[in-house]
Amino acid sequence: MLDRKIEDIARIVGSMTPAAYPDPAAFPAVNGDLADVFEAALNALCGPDDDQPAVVRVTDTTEAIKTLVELCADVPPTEIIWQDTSPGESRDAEPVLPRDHAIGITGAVALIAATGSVVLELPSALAGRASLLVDRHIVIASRDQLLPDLAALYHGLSQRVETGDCPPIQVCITGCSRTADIEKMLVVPAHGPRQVQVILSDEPIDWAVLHRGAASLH
Amino acid sequence: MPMRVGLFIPCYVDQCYPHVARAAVRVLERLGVRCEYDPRQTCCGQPAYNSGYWAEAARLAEHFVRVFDKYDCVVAPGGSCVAMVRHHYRELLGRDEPVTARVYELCQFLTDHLKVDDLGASLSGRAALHVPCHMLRELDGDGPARRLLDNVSGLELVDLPSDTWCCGFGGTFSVKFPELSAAMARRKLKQMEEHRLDYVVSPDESCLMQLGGLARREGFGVRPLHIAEVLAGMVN
Amino acid sequence: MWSFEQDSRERVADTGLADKLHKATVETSLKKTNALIAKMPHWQQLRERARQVKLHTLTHLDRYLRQFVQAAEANGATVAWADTGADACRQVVDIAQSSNVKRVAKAKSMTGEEIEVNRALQRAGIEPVETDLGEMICQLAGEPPSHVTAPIIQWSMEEVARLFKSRGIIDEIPNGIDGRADPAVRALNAARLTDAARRALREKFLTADMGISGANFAVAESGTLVLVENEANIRLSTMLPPVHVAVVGIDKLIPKLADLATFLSLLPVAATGQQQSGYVSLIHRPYAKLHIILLDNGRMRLLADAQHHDLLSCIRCGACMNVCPVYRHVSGHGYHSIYPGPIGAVLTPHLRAEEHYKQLPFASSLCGACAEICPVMIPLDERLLQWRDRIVKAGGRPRSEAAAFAAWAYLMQHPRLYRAVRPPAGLAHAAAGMLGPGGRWKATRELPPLAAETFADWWKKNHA
Ligand code: SF4
Repeated sequence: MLDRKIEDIARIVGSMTPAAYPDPAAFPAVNGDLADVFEAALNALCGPDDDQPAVVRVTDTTEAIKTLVELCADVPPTEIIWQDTSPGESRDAEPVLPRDHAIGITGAVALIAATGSVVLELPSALAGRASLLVDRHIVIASRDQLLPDLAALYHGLSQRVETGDCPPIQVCITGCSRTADIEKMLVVPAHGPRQVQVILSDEPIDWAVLHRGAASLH
Repeated sequence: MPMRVGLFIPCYVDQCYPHVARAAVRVLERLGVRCEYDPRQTCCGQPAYNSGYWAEAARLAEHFVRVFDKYDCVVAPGGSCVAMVRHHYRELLGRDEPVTARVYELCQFLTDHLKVDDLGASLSGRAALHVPCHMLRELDGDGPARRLLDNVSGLELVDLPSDTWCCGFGGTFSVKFPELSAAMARRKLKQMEEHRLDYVVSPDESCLMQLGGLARREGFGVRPLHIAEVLAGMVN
Repeated sequence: MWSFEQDSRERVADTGLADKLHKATVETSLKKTNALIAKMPHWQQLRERARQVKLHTLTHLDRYLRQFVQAAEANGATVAWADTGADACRQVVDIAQSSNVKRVAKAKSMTGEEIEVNRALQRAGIEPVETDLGEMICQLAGEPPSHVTAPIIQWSMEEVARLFKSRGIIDEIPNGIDGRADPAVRALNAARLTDAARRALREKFLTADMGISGANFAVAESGTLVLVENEANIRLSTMLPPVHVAVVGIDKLIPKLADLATFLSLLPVAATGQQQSGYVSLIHRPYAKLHIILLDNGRMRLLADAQHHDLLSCIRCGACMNVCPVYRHVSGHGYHSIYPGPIGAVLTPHLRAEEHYKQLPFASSLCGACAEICPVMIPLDERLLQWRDRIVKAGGRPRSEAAAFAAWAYLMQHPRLYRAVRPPAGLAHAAAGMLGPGGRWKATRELPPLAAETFADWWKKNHA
């Protein structure tokens, strides 16, 4: 059926004048320190009643741990969910229904400076919970993950197709979950997090150290 | 050999608003432009074209080309008709007719061709500039008309969000959907009235027929003026 | 037969409708859109590239479909074809029934609206739950969305509150929701209503056995589905349930993931005046059981239309609706089509056979604001005009109108006759006032008097 339909389409296309595939678009250069650009962009996306900063700059993993513990103060560990990054996780592994948590903590594979976006690659559906079924999504990331703009992100992804290493699911998150359906009034949150916070470290994060250091939050 | 400048007076201006055409003549003559007027001219064909009667419109396009081909330059006090000739004749005629590129809307002719921005006119009051949609989007936008009006002493041009909204005329659209068409004009006029404007000035009389027609029916105090009347000092 | 004219008359009579639509578009979305465009030196270049990518894809659609199907299947998806909306619905219901599905979480999808999948599910005893706030309200109210990106654009907060109360979603209608109330209080109430909807939907999300979505883009090189949203309901609908069905029009194909840089820099700006949407999900190798249904439903016929195939490049941003003065007076419902506004007026008569959709190409003043904003540069005003030409050529207009234009054109081609038949001004005016178009003009406006002396006569006297 599919093949036959595509044959039909081929016949239609055969009588059309083929249009060429255009050169890539030239995006304006992102000027300045990418971390500063990122911080400004994400700050501009803050919800109306964010009680905490959108971006906290730290130097290294040790400081990141300290900041993370501070940001999670007063929240019991049972209300905190970490993104499990093990590739084997599947829906079957979770016998109970997923539930909402107060805080979700994740890493990121990239940060987009121009738009203030956080890019996650999710090995499984449930890995998405920590950035979805939570009130506050805390992202721990580092400078070396900064990309200037969406062009860098998606051009890079295209290259990965060739090597066959596309992530199963990639989500580019820009700000909090929001809606303006009712009279175009901005309301935060809609179905996802009320706030996205990024702990941005100058040095790359050592996740083993971070997990150990933030053991009280597990 | 001197340049031959032909006047193209849109049919409805000829029939209902001859003073607008006379004002355009006065402006041009004052600048030393000697115009010719060929009485064989009729309509550019836009009403038929916009209504889907392309065969009829094509015949009028042929007629237009026959009448105006002899001129080096054609000037018209009507942006919508000029856009029709410049941008849609090609499709109707199935060929490029060089004369279509020599047809100018009045403001464009003054500022770009004659390089004149200041006609020394004066008019006291507050006005909105309404540039017809086809002139705004297919010709030179509102630049030429704005420059000319900026130099009219005593006139305060007020920028409104509604400046770029369609007046609701749209040729036969205005009689196919009279209520809808009038509602579009009403929304513009209301905004002008809220800003206590005295005039709405336009380089196209068809939009003014629409805005003025509703203003008179519903008692809006904003007075429609063609830009030629303002520039010629023929506002009484 | 439904009449756009009569219908629009009624909608125009309700001035509150146009007020609400102008507030939502001119005073909100468009303001943001225009402010962003002003800061994007590459806006026009991006539009031009987007147009070219779409045209390239359409003129190589067989190749890209083949590539997409192959890649998606390699990624573990099942890909099927649907000729019509009914066909697609049947397949969706079959999948649902074979997986014993009771409840479906629906992500906002115009394709889903086009094929009316909810109705099909309900008939099969399956509960579809719209999860986008606006779509949820439409579903509760039993009305179609009125805009492709702002489904309840003409609803007031008060109306939403009343609906929620009648459905037990809230207990009391809060104070301070009408238009005159304090904006801060209203903002709080909007948040309250949204929160109530969120709670009402949460459990349904978590217990849905299947998710249905469309796709904003389908990437050929990798078999990826791309979903763009702000609320996170699409993520919830497509990632939590064990089965995910995506109904994807064949017009959604793009060649490469790299092309997303172009399209995602245009879509949020044009749609809602945001630099970037909240969530862009790329579903590549799904973990849910993923069924992709490729939908024709008239698109192949449109592809074969040499003049109009670029209508298939529409990315459903809704910007042409926001800028359209006709849309802003009659709303999406005025078009009686799930695709309203300028794109709806040209697309619907292609996708739907009913004769009454041939009214839509005439429902425009041809101001061209739509073509000016369209992020993929579809010349919508030109397409409207071409439809009119086609309809006239096919004899789709009243005979009297055709006769009038023929007579008028004859007169205008014969200048002497034209100059000679001009009746005394007063008489002509009176006649125009009573008959024909003049009468319809005079229904709402004053007609200009015919001048006592035409310009031609004046010129003859003064210059000849
Ligand atoms: S036609 Fe253009 S402006 Fe209208 S919805 Fe489609 S992409 Fe957007």
